[in-house]
Amino acid sequence: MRLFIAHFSLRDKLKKVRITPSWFHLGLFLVIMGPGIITGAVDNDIGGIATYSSAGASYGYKLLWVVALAIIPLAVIQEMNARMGAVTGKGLAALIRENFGLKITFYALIALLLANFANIIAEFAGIAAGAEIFGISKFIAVPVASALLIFFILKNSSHKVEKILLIFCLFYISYVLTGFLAHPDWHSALDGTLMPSIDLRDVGLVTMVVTVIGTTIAPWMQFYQQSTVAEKKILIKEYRYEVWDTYAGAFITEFVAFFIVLATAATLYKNGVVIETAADAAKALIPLAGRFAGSLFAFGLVSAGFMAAMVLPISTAFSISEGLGWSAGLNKKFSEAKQFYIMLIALIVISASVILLPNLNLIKIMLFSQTINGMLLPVILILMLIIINRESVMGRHVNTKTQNVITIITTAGVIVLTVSLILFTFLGK
Amino acid sequence: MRFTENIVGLKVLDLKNNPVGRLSDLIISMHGKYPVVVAVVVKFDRISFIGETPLIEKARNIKLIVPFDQIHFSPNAIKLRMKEEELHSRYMAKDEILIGRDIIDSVITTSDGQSIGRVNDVVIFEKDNRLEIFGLGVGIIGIVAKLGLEIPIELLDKGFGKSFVETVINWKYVKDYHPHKNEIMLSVTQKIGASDQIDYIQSKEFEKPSKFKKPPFIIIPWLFLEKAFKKKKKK
Repeated sequence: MRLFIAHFSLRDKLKKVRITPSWFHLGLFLVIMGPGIITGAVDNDIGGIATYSSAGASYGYKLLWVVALAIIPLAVIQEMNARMGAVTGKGLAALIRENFGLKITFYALIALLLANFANIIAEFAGIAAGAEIFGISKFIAVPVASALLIFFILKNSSHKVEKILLIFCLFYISYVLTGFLAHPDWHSALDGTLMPSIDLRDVGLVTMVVTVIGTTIAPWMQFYQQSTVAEKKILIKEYRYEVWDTYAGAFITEFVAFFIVLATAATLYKNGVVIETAADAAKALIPLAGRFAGSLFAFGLVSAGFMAAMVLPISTAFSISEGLGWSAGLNKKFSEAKQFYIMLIALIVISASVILLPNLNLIKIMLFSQTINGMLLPVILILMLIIINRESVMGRHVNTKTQNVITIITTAGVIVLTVSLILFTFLGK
Repeated sequence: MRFTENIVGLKVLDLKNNPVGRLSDLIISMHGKYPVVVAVVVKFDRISFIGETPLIEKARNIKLIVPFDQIHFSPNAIKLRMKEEELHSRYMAKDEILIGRDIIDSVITTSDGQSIGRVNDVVIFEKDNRLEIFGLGVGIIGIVAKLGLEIPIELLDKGFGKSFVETVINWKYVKDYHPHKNEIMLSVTQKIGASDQIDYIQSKEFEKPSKFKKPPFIIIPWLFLEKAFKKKKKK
C-alpha cells in the first residue's frame, strides 16, 4: 500500500516538475520495475548456472545461439503472466482456484511445493559450495544465510525486500566480469551466437539444447511474477512499464547466461574439464582463469543462491496461501498472515537443515525438482492460456489473435521441450 | 444439513421416474437473513420443448433454469413436478447468484480485510419444503472431502473415536458479497468460533453408506496404545 501511494505521489510530482516526457516515463519505469527483473535474475539460480556452465564446458561456444534464442519464449510467457497480474490484481494460484476449482489448484500447488522445496535445497547447496571456496565452512555459511533470510523477510515490507533483491541483481555482474576475465575467443563466440548450428545425430547436444531452454522457464516464475505484480498493485494503465520490466528481465536472464557459457567455454571446454555442478565450475575456473575469476564466479554463486533462497520460499508460501484463501504478503504483520510466515520460515529452515546432512545426493534432488517442474509447467501454461482468453477474467485485455498465435506456438514449443527433457533424463541419453 | 457438493450432479427424473438430466447448479436469491434456493440449473440430456415451444429437433446437453417450485427435492434425486412441455424455464434476476459458479472458491474476508480462507462448499438445509443456505464450509476437512479423500477422514474418525468436524461459517455473519472480486465479506473481525462448526458425518447423512467397513489396520495399534495409556493412568 505504501508503494501504491509512493508511486502515485511520484507521478504527481513528475507532472508538477514539468519534466520531458522521456524523463517522466523513465521515472515511472524506475518506480514500477522489479517483478520482471527480479524474476529474470532469479531464473539464473544455482540450477540455471549449473546448466549454462555445463553447456559451455561441454560444447564451447556452439550453444550461444540457443541462449540468445531463449529470450523470445521467456519474454512472451512472462508478459502474459504480468498482464494477468495487472488486470486482475490477483496471483496465479487465486486465478487457478477461481477458474478451475479446488482439485486442480490443490494438485498444482502440491507439485509446486515439492519442486520449489527441492530447488531451495539446491540454492542452499550453492551457498554452501560457494562459501567453501572462500574457506568458510557450510556449517557456518548455511545457518548464517538462513538467519539473514528470515531476518530480511520478517523485518521488511515487500517494497524493501524488492529493493534488497534489486541490489542483489547487480551482483550478477560478477558473471559478466568472469566472462571477460576468461579471455574468450570473441570471433568464435560471435559465430556461435549468430550462426545457429545443431547436429541432430548428436543426442548429447540435442539434450543440452533442450535443457538450456527447458531450465529458462519454470513454474515458480509464473507464480512469483504475477503475485508480485498483484502485490505491488500495478494498474493496467501503467502496464506498459511492467512490460519493459518483463522484457528487461528476460534480457538480463539470457545476458548473464551468455557470459556464463562464454566463461566456461573459454576455459573448461578448452581444457577438456567436465563438470556436474556450478560449484565444480567455480573450482575448475581458479587454475584456468585465475583466482580472481574463480572467486568472482563463486561470489556469483553465493549471491544467486541467496537471492533464490529468498524468492522461492516467498513465492511458494504466497501461492499456497492464496490458493487456500489465507492472508499472505510481506506487507502483512506476522499476526495477520500466520500461515504464510510459518510456511515461509519452515521452508527456509528445513531446506537449510537438509543441506547440513551428510551424504546428501544433490544431483538426485535436482533431478527430482527438474522432473516435477517439467510435469507441472505444461499444465500451468495451458491453464494460463485458458485464463488469458477468458473475457470474464481479462475483460478487453484478453489475448488478441496475433498474441494467441505467438503464445500458443511458444507454449507448445516449451511443452515439447520440457517433456523431451524428462524423457531424455529418464532414458539416460 | 447437506453440502452443495453432494447435491450438484444428482440425477433429475421426469414424472415417470426416467432420468432426463443432472443438476448443474443452484440459484439463490440474496434477500433475507438466510438466502433461499429459488431455482436450479438442470443440464438436460435431451429436451423437446423450451417452455411451451416445441423444438424442431431435440436439443442435447442443454442447461435450463428451472424454478424451485417446479421440482421435488429428495435426498438422492431431483424430480420434476410437471411434464417437459409444462416447465417454465426462466432467466436469472439481478439479485440472484449461482452457488457453484459464484460462491464456491470465493475468498472470505473479515471486516478488517483479512482473508481467512476460501469457500470449499456451501451448507444448505431444508425448511418448510424449501432450501436455505446455512453457511460456508472453510475447513481442512472440507478440502479433504472435496478432493474425494473421505476414507482418510473416516479412518481418523474411527481411529480416534471422535468425529472430525468441518468449520462452517454461519451465513448470519455474511455482510457483503462482491461477485467481481470473488470475495465474501463478513461482519466480524475474528474467525468464527466452535459454536458454528457442524459435524462432517452429520452433513453426509443422506449419502450412500461407505464402502469402507472393516476396521483399518491403524486402529489396532491406536486402540492398543489407548488401553495401555489408560492402564498407566489408573496405576
